[in-house]
Amino acid sequence: MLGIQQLTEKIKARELSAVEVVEKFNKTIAASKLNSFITPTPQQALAQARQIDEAITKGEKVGSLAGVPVAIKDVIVTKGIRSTGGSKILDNYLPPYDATVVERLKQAGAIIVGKTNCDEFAMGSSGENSGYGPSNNPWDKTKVTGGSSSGSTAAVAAVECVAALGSETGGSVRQPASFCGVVGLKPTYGRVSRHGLMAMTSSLDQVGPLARTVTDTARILQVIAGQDERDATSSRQSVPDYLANLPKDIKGMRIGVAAEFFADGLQAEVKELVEKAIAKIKSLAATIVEVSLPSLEYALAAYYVICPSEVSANLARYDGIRYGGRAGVESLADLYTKTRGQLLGAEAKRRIMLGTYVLSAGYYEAYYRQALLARQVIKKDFDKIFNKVDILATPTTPTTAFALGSKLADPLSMYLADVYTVPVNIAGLPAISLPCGLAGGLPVGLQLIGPAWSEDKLLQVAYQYEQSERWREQLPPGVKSVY
Amino acid sequence: MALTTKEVEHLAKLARLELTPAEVEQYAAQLGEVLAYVAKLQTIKGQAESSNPEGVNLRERFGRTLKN
Repeated sequence: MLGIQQLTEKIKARELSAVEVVEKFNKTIAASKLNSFITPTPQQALAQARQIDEAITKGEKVGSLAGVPVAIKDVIVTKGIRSTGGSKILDNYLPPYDATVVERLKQAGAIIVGKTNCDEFAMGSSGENSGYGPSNNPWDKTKVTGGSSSGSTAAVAAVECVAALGSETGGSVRQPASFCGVVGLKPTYGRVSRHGLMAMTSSLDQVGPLARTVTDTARILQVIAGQDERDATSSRQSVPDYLANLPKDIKGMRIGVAAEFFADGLQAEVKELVEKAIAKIKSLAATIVEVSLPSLEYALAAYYVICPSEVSANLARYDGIRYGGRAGVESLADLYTKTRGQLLGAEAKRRIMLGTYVLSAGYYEAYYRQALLARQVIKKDFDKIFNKVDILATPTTPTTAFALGSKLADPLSMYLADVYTVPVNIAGLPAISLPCGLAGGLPVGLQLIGPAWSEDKLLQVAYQYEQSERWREQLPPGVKSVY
Repeated sequence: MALTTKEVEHLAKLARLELTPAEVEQYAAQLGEVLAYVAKLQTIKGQAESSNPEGVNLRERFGRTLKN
């Protein structure tokens, strides 16, 4: 299988045409049984591919992703292409503009092959909260893909696209990446523009890339990172060359290991594989340092106060008037309550009500204020860790992918699937998940966490580990690469 | 520590959500369970030390000149 660079080189050298590449992917997507796409865009993709081929024929300069088929999570808006956000309430929504990340991908020559399935408005850890049915894990179709970037991850794992965009609020790129055996990166808060990302928890949301290798992940990040004047929370921090450090060795680098991430509830096989991966990193001449994150136990609780609070406000815009579907016509109140009651899914309604509860007079102090306090404590604990080490290594998830349907009736057990990913979002940090082996035929992910703006270092350690093993070459059973 | 159905109905009213009786029952139990879990936040000690209550900088200072 080719990396992004080899693929674009072949297309630029006219050994392959972008149209040929896109036709193959269109075919794979049409034949997919994973429910990874809500809206495939074969015609638009072909039109884009023709433009790229024409430009190359004319000798015009094309971008770093020329002819590369990418998939976009449906919570990221695309001009004139249906963007549902995984919700029936936006079933017929055609956005009038492209999200900045989509605009940047297109400018770099990437080809959008479709909009991918996800939990409704990115709320979920299994993909099952989508209004369009769950995606299936390519490694075992009876298992969840993880979520909320379910379709993007399944599509990358099953080679239905070369790379994809997901979005993160509490682990929605890393957790499915771990479950489906691909690479997923959550950038530092403010690293990537959110203009055109449907808002869920504005103090946490961030767009992140998914790909089959660390190098391809770096190439996508390179294109989407950087300030955007249309997103006031995007940072002016300069964007380094994310590829420059990859080949450099990690000799002497200090890698932290915190016991809190290896506690009760961690599946034995996952623990074993992650410990092996850490030993491998040590063998690359890194130093392993024991550290501690005592506030870890508060992270998930803080998340499930902060997130629903912001959700209850952000989802107020879906009122049957400005966007999408509508139900109820007796009165304005009837229109609001019926539209929201009938067209929002169970998890959306659950979080809206939780948020409404914890922000109520009399409860605000006990819940929301305490959650903000926890957020500060967690941030400080991470600061202390990164005074001692360069990178923290942990499992991405406590278990491998669980069975479809197994956690639907028990939201709290579903929430616990994100226990190792959520602290990173709470502290606004970057982190990456990459494959570190198979347990019972299902992928296991290694998570690397770094201080703010350390994406280059995270990618470097991830790349050095990736190259020391051959997990990246493994494809799910029955999956064949078309490129 | 389930919520009462009356509490759930009140929340649904505040949030402009029409729920079926079965949903009200289900949410009463589920919301109660989540609230019991997040109650551990009440054991965190200390006062907010930063004037920024979020604990992380959500946006940089304004006043810069934006390029067109």
